[in-house]
Amino acid sequence: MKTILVITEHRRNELRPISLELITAAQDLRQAGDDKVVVAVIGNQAESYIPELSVQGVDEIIMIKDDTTEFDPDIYQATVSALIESQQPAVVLLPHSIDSLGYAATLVEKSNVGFATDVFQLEYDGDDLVATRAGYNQKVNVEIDFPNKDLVILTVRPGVYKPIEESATPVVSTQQAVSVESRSKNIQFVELASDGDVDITTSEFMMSIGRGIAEEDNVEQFRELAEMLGATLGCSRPIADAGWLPKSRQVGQSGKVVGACKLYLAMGISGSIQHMAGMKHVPTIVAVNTDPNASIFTIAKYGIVGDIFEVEEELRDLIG
Amino acid sequence: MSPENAHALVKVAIESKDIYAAVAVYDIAHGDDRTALEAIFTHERRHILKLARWEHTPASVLKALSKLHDETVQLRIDKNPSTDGSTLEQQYLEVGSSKLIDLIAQHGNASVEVLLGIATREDDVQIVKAVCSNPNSDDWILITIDRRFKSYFDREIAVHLNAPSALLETIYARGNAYIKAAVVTHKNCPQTLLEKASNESDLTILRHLAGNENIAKNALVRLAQHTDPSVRRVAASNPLLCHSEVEKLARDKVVAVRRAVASRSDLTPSLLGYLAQDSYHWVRLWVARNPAMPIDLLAVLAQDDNMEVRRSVARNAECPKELLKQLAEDDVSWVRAAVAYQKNAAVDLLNKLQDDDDVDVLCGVANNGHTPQTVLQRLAKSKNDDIRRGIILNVNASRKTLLPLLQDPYYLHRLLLVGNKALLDEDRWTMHDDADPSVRFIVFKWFAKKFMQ
Amino acid sequence: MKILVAVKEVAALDEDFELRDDGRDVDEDFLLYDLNEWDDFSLEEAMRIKEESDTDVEVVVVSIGPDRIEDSLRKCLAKGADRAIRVWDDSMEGSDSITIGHVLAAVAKKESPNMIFAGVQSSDEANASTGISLASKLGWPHAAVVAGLKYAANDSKALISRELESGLSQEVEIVCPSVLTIQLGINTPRYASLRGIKQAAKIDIEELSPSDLGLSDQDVGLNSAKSNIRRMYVPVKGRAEIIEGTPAEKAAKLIDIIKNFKGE
Repeated sequence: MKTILVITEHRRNELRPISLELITAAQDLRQAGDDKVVVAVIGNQAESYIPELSVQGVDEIIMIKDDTTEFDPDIYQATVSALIESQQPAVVLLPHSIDSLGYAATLVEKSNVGFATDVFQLEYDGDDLVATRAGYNQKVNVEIDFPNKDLVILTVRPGVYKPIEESATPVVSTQQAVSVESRSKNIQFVELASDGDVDITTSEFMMSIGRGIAEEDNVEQFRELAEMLGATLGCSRPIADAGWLPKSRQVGQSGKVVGACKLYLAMGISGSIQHMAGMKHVPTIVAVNTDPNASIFTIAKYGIVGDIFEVEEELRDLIG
Repeated sequence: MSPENAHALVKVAIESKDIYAAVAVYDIAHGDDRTALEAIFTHERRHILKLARWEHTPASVLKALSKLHDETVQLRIDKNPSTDGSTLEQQYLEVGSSKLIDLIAQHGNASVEVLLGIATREDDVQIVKAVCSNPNSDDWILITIDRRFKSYFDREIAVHLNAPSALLETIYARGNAYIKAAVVTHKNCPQTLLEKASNESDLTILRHLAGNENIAKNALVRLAQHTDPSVRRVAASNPLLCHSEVEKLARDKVVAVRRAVASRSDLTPSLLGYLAQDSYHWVRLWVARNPAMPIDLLAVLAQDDNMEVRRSVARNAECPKELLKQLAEDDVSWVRAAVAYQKNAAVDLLNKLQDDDDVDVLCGVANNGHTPQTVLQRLAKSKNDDIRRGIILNVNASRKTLLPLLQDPYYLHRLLLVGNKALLDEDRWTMHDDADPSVRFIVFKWFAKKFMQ
Repeated sequence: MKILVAVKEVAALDEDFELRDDGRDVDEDFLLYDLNEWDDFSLEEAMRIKEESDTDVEVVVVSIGPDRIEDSLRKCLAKGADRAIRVWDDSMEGSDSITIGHVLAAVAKKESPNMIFAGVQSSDEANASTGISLASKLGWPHAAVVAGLKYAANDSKALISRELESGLSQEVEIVCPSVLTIQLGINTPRYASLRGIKQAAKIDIEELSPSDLGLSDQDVGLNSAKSNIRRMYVPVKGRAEIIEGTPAEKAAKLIDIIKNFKGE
């Protein structure tokens, strides 16, 4: 019998979706019938998350009620360390999220602990736990195992596992909070407009135009399209250098890195090294270009070989 | 001192042992020099791999690399847009792995002969599709593919520029709405098909038909009056549409239609005046850019509440000096920037804008061919990369203005300067041992090109 | 006042590459080395504090790796870092992000900086754990994914803004000295001037071995690894998935991708 410990995450009174995804991931780690999936939830409102976490596949939920509402790296580190002591799990699953990245690596000081981050596949090969993560900027997959480790701590990539919807009634217990002095303090949350016309460094959805638009007059229709799609308009260097769009919209080495972007539509951008420096990290890049050999296709997830004006026209009609 | 002839340049490249200098002068080298250069850039496999992929690698070097018969190198060469037709042909004849043939079939420099060979012999769907999508494929290749594979590649053929009318007719007859729509957009689509299409009820087909510039005028009028706004919108952008219909569409209740009208280049002053009062700013924005816009109406738009409309006035090629002067004082920097980039902006206006604190305005001043050299020289000291690049891109920047920029920290700026006509050869040559490989390459390439002529 | 900036030389990979014969890594000929993208930003943040300060601020960059990483350290020196430290010996081959964090902590103990920056992650491995591992070993306060920083030399507290998921950002006050992992876009990194490059070529890079830091063979390399690579393979989807069809069909699929992203 072994225990798989899942550490959940919440923010501003909402359970983060990855918490439920971790419960699904934990099911891949069950080997024996009496293996246990234990789910921990930390915070002064811990009980409010219980109904949502009570899904099939959860054997036990542990509430740790402390004084804090929001994530704090020092408190999570101390609390999860204490949980590991009390539960003696074989595997701990954490979200590969901004918050968990803030303390995951503090849990692995001891030499008998195995560790890997951003894993997206889990399985047992005999007695060996095998996790898969990506390497070389997602160009390869890497299968790793953890020889001679008594405990393996993993952060799991969000959006890979589907939440279990069937509800259940797991055992709910409470564990004492650990007293720890926090060295950082939450001041406030700031909402950045999630779409539409915002600073390109904070936009999650961008549409960028490049040399392919050919003339200044054509900029307008793409600005309008971006507005219709709810995307922030960006551009490659030649467009900003010509004064067709403000420098603040320039993506790349000469301009800005679109750090927060999740979806990037590259319209008529061939993909110079300078431009790609600003956006190659974006998880979903869709490139539209007439040249099938344009470098942008080497980093794009989806490609459309074709005329950007045709695509623009069609999109316009589809949005209505 | 810069090298005096091709031989001297090649010698410097050989002595430097720099792969980037070596590939840049490869075209102008002969005999033993060529061998010596090859020895430099083929010395390590990691360099060969890098060059096979690099966007600047000359076709001659790619050809030399293709003779090394390294499979992964071949793959990278066949993907490199600079690879020439003869290298591709050689690869096609010698290698023949389906992965490479697929790449050759996609390549923009693949010759008609090679493409026809592939179209005739290959059965792999992916490869044949690549031939169908290659702009170099001619009508005969498309006909051949159609004969061999029937309707399988109709989508690709329907959008291929060289598809002949007869083939388009066949495809139209058996195609679904999407394919029919693609056919009616084609420049080779015969009149008979256009007529047939105008009786279709599918909106996708009609919408595409409305954009065809060979359509019969009365058919276009019917589409301009269609109940579906997207059909009307496309008809509204068709240059063929007669003036009376354009006038009606300018009053359409759907903004997208009015916007399409506003972007036409053939609008009469009275219609421009009407559209200038539209409640939708994208409509006003389009007419504000129109060079035929009467000056008095332009003056009204220059006071528009929407800053993008005011900016469009400032970008109007016929915008008079007085209005530019007024817009140079605009509260919004992006409007002032449009003035700074304006070809009609007078020297005194630019002199004034040089003291602006907005980066886009200053970039415009740096970029403007009318800006005095003294102003450019002051701006060349700016800490802002974009402003300095504006000067480098300024077509009238003098040598004296540009010289300090040869030391610019941003490699791209040094790279852009290599080809600047205001500079002397000795200025360019100072960058031949630049810290950045692409700058070194461009310098050697520039001199190689000069000696080739 | 001293700021320690931990940097890494990363390996980038173009498409069409080959794996090593043992199948556990990529053939080295295909790797293109450069300074980690994130590190340009953390170095710039340190340089900003240095240049805005009235008191002397020393910026020290440290990296772990073989001879070749000197190029990346020189790049940092050319941008204005005062000193560069390289830690290596062959026993360190195969060190993972946690071990690297521990070695960096040993360097930090030796250097006693007032602040430490690291990149959020490296572009090649993206473990996103080196900086926090370093903080953990030192027992220092730490924060990950810092996209905004209000801090002047010798301040006892820093106001940071952490970039969270879904367009949300969190302002946090943190006790200093601390370890911050810096996010892309926090500033505009400078380019090294040509003069800076020439000067950097003359500066000696300080070299340390694990034993200089009081670490044994057991503390580094594969001996201390938290995991073991079984094999590496190329995922089926390498290059872009090409959306086929007529223009109208392509656009329809593109709309699906956008809707899917927006959760509609």
